[in-house]
Amino acid sequence: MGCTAASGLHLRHRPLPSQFMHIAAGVLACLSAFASSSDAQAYTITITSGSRAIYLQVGAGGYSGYYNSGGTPGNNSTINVVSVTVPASAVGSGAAQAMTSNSTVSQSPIDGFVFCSPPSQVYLGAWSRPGSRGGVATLTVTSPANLTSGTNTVPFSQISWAMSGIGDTVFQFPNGTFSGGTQTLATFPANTWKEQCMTFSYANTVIPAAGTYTGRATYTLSLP
Amino acid sequence: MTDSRWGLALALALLAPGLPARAQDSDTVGGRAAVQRVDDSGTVVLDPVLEMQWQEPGRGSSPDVVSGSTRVSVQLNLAPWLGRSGRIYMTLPRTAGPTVRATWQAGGTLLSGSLISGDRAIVYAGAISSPLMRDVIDIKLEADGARLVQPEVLAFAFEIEVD
Repeated sequence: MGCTAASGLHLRHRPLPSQFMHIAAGVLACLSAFASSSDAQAYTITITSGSRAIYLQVGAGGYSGYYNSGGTPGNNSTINVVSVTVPASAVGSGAAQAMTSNSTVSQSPIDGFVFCSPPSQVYLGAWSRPGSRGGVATLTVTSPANLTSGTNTVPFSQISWAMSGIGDTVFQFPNGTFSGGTQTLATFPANTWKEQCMTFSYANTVIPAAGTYTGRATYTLSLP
Repeated sequence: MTDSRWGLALALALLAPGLPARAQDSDTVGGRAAVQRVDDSGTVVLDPVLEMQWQEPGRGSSPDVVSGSTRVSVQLNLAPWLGRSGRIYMTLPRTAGPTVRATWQAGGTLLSGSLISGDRAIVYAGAISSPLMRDVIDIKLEADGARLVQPEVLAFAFEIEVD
């Protein structure tokens, strides 16, 4: 099971496959069995974490409504773009350049809390609900070695991110720099939800040929 | 009350032939009130299967706590102790799964309170003047979501200590 999202930094998010329906049906059948076996002198309440599913949102997401008011996850094929234009006079100066995105997501899909500050920040949130099969989900980001403009390149390692969020007290994901490969951002024990806001910056320590350089980072949440 | 406690109470009654053969007379052991299980078979749970929901993750609260709520129509058969007084407790045995905290608001007959699985909490103290005691409680259950993998059956029960 897995869902992916990308950034160009292009960011996108993907839904959950239909195979979970089979798993969900199995859990419900199991719960019915529990409910009918209650002791005559003990009222029983069965608690469950729900059917097996995972959700990933990078930038624009697919929640209809908010989770805590009954909202449900869905699909969103949007790939958000994070960009910066470096003035000619500053190219290669070593002065880091703040990047901005076209993401407008400021509110957490959990409860609508205003968590991120677009366009300087991009929302990153994911959850894992492994159901009775269990398992630990892993969030990774994969980037190519270089951003490209025709045959010219800029190392993807020129781009870094910092994690934060309005009122945030728990840092769920590490700060980092794209390495031109796959990097693990977090693991998700059963029934955990993590979210933060990414602020990207361009290191500006190289002097590339003039041009528009693009590349895509892909975020993947997988639950074995 | 566990099965072994029932067995102990019965044995003591048989060893005291001079006492009237009433169930209540086994309520004290060594000067202490004995614990007896209360018949709550008339209790109904509005939604007996709860899909737990995340509480607000991060931002100050534990990201792993899940919770769920339901309403319970409690009916206790207190006929064996009618006319006496005592204390009634709600119990929640520990399970192999995560520790569960139950917090409830009662409708007025029973006491509101909370308990952790493996523990008990008092829900009534005083005279037993009716063979049936009824109340409606709104109960909230909280657990460590990271440990809630398999469905957990929580078997609440009631027990009484008669004065």
